[in-house]
Amino acid sequence: MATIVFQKMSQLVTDYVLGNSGSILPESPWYMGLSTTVVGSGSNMQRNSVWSATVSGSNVNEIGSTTAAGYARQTIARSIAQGAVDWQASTFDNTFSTGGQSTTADQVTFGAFSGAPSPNGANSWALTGGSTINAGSLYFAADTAATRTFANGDTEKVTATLKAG
Amino acid sequence: MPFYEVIYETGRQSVGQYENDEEALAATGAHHDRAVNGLPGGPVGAPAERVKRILKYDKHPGDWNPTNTLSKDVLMKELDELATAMADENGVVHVGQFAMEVRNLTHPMVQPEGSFDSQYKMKEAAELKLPWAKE
Repeated sequence: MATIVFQKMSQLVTDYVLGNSGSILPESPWYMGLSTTVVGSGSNMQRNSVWSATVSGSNVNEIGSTTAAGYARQTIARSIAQGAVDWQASTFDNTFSTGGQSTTADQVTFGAFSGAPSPNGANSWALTGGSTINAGSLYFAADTAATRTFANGDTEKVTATLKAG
Repeated sequence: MPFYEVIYETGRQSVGQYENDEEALAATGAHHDRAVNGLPGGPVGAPAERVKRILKYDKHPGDWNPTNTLSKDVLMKELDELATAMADENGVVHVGQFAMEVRNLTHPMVQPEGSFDSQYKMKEAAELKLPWAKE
């Protein structure tokens, strides 16, 4: 399963965490979206990819932009282990090459879909900002295990994990 | 198009965008029927969940106060109350923790008080009557 961390996530570390920037701020809340675009290995998503309805280059294309059919982005609160859907307590892996601090969000649920969204076929999920489809900043993304094609009554569950090495 | 917060019997929530109440009820009703009949809830095969409540919003409930602003008067009142609540026995406030609480003033999500309560600060426009709910 391929994953990618986008430029904005790196900028949060350099500007907000290290530099206490007042303009580069974390999202509040975070949003999760489903994309038709595969993460790939450099030929699909890029570190500077942007959301777009236009399927071209390294653009990231969201499902449901023409026909939502029950699709909407899901929120993840900017908190740790509170009552709403948010992030769990982080853990540390001391492995030299692959270690780091990691956290997993509570599972989010998309749907129930009322039919086939257009576009349909989720190949990845992405942590993003804002509720507007095909808009907002991208932070990180990962491929789904297989293409998810949705129909009436379907839901889709996604659990996001970030490991910061 | 309106947004709907779907609250499942498991306590999980999702937000969906539908043309109208009828579409929302048809989609969630189909999912609810799957749960009643022990069927998978989606393409991955996870169990379906019974739908307990559906709350309707004019916009995505995560978009409460998207500008992340408060009026000066409200902010000053909130700051005073926060400082009082967070001060220790010596009247000292941890500035980092205080800053975190200040950021939460405009966060659109809350801890649901009950298993089937909303996780959003935004007040719903309506709650749908579920045809499958027992009277």
